[in-house]
Formats: sequence, structure tokens, C-alpha cells
Amino acid sequence: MVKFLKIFSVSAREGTVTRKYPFESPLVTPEFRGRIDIDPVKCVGCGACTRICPTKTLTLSYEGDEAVLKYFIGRCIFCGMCAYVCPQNAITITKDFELASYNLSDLYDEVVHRTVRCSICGKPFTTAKLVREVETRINGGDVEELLNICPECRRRLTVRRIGSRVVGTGGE
Amino acid sequence: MNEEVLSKYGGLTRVINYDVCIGCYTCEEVCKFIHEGMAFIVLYEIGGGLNKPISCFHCVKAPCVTACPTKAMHKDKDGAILVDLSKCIGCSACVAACPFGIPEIVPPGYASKCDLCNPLRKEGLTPGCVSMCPTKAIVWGDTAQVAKELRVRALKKLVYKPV
Repeated sequence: MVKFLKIFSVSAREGTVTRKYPFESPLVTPEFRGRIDIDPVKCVGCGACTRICPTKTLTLSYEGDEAVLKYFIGRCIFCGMCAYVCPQNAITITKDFELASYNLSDLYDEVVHRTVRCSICGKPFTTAKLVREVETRINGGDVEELLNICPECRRRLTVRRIGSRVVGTGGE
Repeated sequence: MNEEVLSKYGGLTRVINYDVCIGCYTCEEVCKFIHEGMAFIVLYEIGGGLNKPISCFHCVKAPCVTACPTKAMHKDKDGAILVDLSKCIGCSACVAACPFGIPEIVPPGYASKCDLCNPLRKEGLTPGCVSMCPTKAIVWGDTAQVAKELRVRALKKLVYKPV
């Protein structure tokens, strides 16, 4: 009984530790993970985040000349794996957790990229920004025209080039 | 001399000699068998009904290694370009960088390519495609020895060329 009364001395010393949340700022720890934020300027549309995402919250779909990176908050488990793998550091984890909405479209976030069409077969194979990014990384190591050819056509082209010189058949 | 050549040209080289290749698909099937259904040496038609294989060239100055943001693509002591699966994030930068279109992104999401049969090489064996090629079209070994072998073959072709 006397032990129970100790609580009064503790509360008198510490004061109020809870927050009047809707009227004050919420109590979030520095490690707290809320929704993610994708920087459309830094993002190159490589799709590393979509491959690591355990719940397929992030998806990258090719629709004609556009590659759409879609983020659906309704399925996100806030694991932060996407921000960990992003090679461009385009994804940041925010402290935002007040995500309820009457409108379903509020739960979607989209980043639209322009795709590159293969100059031989005409199939869109990657985003234009990724090609530019790789070009700067390898710093002129590749021939410019090869960057705009899809991997499958690059193989065929190489085989034909070597073949035409060594065996003397086919040609480019 | 050998030490110098090894350090300069990255040790061992594999060359596919299209002159003697008969396009029999043995290398592709062997690779598929060793790598659990995925072939990393694939044959393509070069015209005239002939099929010739293409696989990773294991470049000395490889664009995929330069483009990789996590250093998952690396060169081992034999000069083979390998993917470190614990580091690979599947960003497909290597796919965009390779001038020959060799690396592939495979499920669940990492780059995969010819590893010159790393487990076999560790046991002191030659890569599967090299040892199974019926016409010895795929040559693998010390850069200097391979160059010598190819010179001998070119010379033989010149000398014994049917008129």
C-alpha cells in the first residue's frame, strides 16, 4: 500500500510525460520509419527498390514511352529496404505516419520516367536517365550508339561483327 | 615475363575461336546443366545458317565493374568478373553498361553472368564449356599461352588452306 504511494512522488518530480497529441506534435523517435519519399530528380528508374521490396509496394511498369515507378502506401510495411538499396539516395524515410485518407489516390505516389527504345528492335528496354547515369559513370568507355541498343540486340550485333570478320558470313 | 603479363592483362583468358566452332550447342547445354537451367554462353545466328556462341569476355577494363555502384561486380585473382550476391542490389547498371549485353537480372533481383565456373576452377578444373567443346574452339588459360595457341592455329590455317 505504501509502495503504491511512491508513484505520486515520481510524478511530481517528472511532470507530465504524455503528449496532448492532436494538438501538439507527436512523439516520434529518431529511428521511427514512416512513409517513404522519392526524389524524382535523383531517381533514375533503375528498379533496385522494386526488386528488394518484400511486399511489392514499389512497382516499375513500362507503358509505351513511359516507365512508371509506383508507390502504394496501403501495402507498405515501412521496412526501409528501398532507401537502403537505392544507389542514387533518391529515397528518404520520412517521419510521416498520419496517412489515413478518404481518397484512395492519396495513397499512391508516382514517378514517371522516359524510356529508351532500342535503335534496332524498337523495344523500350530501360529509362533514359539510367543510360545517362551509366554513361557518366563509365566516362566514355562505351560507344555512344551501343548505349541505345537493348542487351539482346547488343549480343546479336557482337556475334555478327565477329562472325563477319572471322568466318566471312552474314555481316552487319 | 609471366608475372608481368599476368598483372597487366588480368591472368587467364577465354577465347572462342569462331573458325573451328561448329555451332553444336554443347557449350550452351553444359552451361545450362552446371548453372541449374541458366545458360551463360548462348548461341546466336550470324547469318548463312551458322550459329556461334557468345559469352562474357571478362574484359580487363570492364565497364560493368566501373558502372557498379556497390562494387558487387569485381575481378577475381584469375581475371574473371564475378558478381558478389551479398552486395548486388539489382540496379541493372551493369546491364546498361556492358557493350555486349552479357549480364542479366534474374529473380529475385540480382545480376547474373558467366563466372567461368568458379566452383570448378576452385577444384583446379577447367570451365565446363572449355572442357566439353568437341572441336576445342573454346580456349582458356594463361593469356600468353592462349595468344600463342591462336597464332599457331592461324598459321596452320594459312599453310594448310585448301586451294
